[in-house]
Amino acid sequence: MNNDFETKLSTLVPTGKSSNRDALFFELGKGHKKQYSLASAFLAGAIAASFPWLLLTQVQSQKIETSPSPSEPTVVLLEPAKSEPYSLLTYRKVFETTNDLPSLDYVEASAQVETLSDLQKEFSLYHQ
Amino acid sequence: MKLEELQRFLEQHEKCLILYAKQWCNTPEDVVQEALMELVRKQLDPVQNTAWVYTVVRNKAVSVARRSTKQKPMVGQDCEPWFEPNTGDAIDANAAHLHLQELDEPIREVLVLKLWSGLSFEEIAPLAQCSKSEAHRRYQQGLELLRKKMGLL
Repeated sequence: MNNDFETKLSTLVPTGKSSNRDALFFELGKGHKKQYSLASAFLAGAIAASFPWLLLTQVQSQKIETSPSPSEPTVVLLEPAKSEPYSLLTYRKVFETTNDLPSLDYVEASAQVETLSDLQKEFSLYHQ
Repeated sequence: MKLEELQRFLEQHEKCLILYAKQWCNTPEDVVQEALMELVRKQLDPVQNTAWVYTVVRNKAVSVARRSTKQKPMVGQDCEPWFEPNTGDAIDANAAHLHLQELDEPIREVLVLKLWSGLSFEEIAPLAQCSKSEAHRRYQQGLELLRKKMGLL
């Protein structure tokens, strides 16, 4: 008799707001820094959705620079490997599909970009 | 850990973890989020570390509840529903919630972990800080008590 009751009880669906998956995926991405060549377009989109102030770019060095000041933008540097399956165009498409991110800037950096200041320079050039 | 593994884990356990945290504190979503962040930062496989996640959620929820009296779980009508409303001949979700709350915490914890999280008694025992057989006994007792309270004898 308990079995029927048990089955019925187990069909009840717990309530609960979803966790911030974008933040989790962002953390996941950080943990996989060396594997950014495998970062999926989805992950890139998730990062962008989480942090709409991000400046996403392709650079030669592979690193994440997080601004210590919340008022300054955080910059995520993604370096798809030469054999990477997702082209910049793919990333761009992801951003276009999440086009509720008006503050997202997309910069295709030149090979000279190696540091954060290089990137900022590049960014200002882009907006001239 | 892969993105897909995390997705699957969240689909299966997220709401159950929130329900579990509700047993002690009033900010269950925050507690679960923190535990998940810890899982991701440690790069642990979520499937192989399911019981670990529940342990972290339990510890955090208990700790939050201890820090503030305001964080004690709300009871009765003030409390957000624990289950989605259901239809048909299924068990009344609201009644199940209210009567579950009336059970002693050690019994309720085992019921939540077994019925909704789908953990084995082996996994439940260390969480509930008892033996496997004691976890089983609490589960059977909990079912019986709940059935009586709901007038389904």
